Amino acid sequence: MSEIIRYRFVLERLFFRDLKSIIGYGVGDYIAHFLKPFFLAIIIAFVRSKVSKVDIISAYVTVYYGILVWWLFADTVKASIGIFRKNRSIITKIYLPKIILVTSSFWARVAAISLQAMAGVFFLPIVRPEFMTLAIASIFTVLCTILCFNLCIGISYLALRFRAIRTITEFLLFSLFFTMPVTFDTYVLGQNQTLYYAINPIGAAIDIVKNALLGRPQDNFIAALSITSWCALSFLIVPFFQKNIDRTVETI
Amino acid sequence: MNQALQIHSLVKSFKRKQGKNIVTFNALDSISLNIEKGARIGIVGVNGAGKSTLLKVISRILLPTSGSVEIFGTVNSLLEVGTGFDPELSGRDNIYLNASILGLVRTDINHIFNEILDFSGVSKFIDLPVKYLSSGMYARLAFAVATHIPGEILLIDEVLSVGDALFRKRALQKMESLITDQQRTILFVSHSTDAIAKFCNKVIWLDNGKIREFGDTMNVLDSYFNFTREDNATNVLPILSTELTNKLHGYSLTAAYVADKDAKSRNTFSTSEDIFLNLKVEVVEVSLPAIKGFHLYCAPRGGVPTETHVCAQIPEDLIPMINGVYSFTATIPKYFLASGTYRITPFVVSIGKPLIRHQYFEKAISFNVIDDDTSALIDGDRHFGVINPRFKWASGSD
Repeated sequence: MSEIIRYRFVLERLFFRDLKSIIGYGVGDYIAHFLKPFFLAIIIAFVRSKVSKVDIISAYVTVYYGILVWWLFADTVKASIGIFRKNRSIITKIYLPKIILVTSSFWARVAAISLQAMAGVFFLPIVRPEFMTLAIASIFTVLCTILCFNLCIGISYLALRFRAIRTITEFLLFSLFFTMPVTFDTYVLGQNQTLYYAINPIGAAIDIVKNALLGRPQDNFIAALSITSWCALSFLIVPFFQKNIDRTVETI
Repeated sequence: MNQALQIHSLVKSFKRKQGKNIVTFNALDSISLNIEKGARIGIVGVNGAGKSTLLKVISRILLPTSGSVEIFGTVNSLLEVGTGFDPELSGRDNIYLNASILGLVRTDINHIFNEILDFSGVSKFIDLPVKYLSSGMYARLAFAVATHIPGEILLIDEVLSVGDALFRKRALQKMESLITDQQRTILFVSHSTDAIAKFCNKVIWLDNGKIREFGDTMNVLDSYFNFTREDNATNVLPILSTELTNKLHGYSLTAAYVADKDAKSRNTFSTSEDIFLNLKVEVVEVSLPAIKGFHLYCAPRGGVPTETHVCAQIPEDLIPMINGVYSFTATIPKYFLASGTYRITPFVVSIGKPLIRHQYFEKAISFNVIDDDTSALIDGDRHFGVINPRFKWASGSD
């Protein structure tokens, strides 16, 4: 943390660089960035409303925010794989705490997804979520974000150490998308829900957000416990990363 | 505390896969150095000697395998101009990004922003993505930011060759002000011995990761030049075996060497000092007339790769007809030869046709002249050619 504070201005500049590279450099890019989840949500919600016979508006809003939570996880993890190779020209020429690069990349993606989430804010009056459930969802989304950040730190290190991580991660992310409750509701899993939450905190976070938006009671205690536990455990990654990253980056 | 840097038994090893085996090689091997505050240290060495690795270890980009580096002050490295430049970002954004990576904060950058713009000369295009700038403009912008690098200890790696001739002149002046700032300690890696001679008061010569020599600039450059010369020439042609010499003509060249004003044999000279070419001639029963002297060859740096030469003969009236060994010295005055490598062919040839080469030591001696005037480092200025005289000017009114 002290290094992040010391290098905060570099972090700020790298953050804006990364944000621009995600959102784009022109008006067309900005529009495409905001429309991407809208169109994807339309397709998924249409299919879901036909299959599950649910209200299409509710399906649309939940899919929209479900996708954003998923992207928060998938995009940040995917970006962290190549973070050091992307910034090779910097880290081989000047000393910079490596965590700065992961931090800027991660938070730039979080900011880009937050902008997309804000663009969907006008849906909220339609579904009318309760304030309390929304507050709970916000807390767990923050915990999920912290978990993703620590995970990205770990993945960035592993990707540097083992080249196969890129292929493995891409395959896992592709597979995981179909197990995430973006396109279905978790209650269809029946008794398996408990185990599902225990091992899949991102699924848990998506479920909590969906419950909040649809005004369902937040009775998924296991989901909350899963996110909190994984988040706490993920802090073990940081000291390991700090200890080993400088030596590993030399191999780049 | 007068120390800026203390390096103790520094070793930096890399592992490389060679077939099925993993081999370890030491890029730096037992380096120990003490550098005082305000010192301007040049680092020379052939490719792969460990120069850049040393700078990277000092600047913490690489971690030492063993040994220690103690730094007393803030250190910053300028190993490349335009570190972190993003082609998609505008010149303005890149100035802020690059300067922040180099250690400047927003207020500092705001303060020097206009200075950077003026220096780079790209103010008209500052809000365009830098990918649309020409490579020269790009380099100028990057260099302009880099020269505002902060830090008490600066590590600079060969960054002088940017932009066109005009910009290079300005860049060199800027580099000079950066390097000669007495408050700073500089470690400067360059293959340009001229630049090293101009900017540095001490030189480290690295060879295979070890310090081969560390000391006074001219002495170390002298040894380094001797080591890197491509031919078999030396600065001293040793006493020649009299058995091998042809004495039919009565003259025998017995020694030839290049020396400074203290008669010390050297390889490297500054343009600001006289160079003495010494020849020893043995006179034994003179029978036939002959020309004794030397050819001075010069292969200019850059430009047209042609070799020029001048022929210098010992005046006949200086050579006595009495048997004995005589020394002759030809003085090349200071500010006469331009920066470059020179080769000498001492000879004794008979007069008449056909011309017979009795003794002809083809380019047997070589020496290097380095220019300690930075303006001479600029292509298109005074860099090319063989002579580099200082003209005397006078002014008057009509």
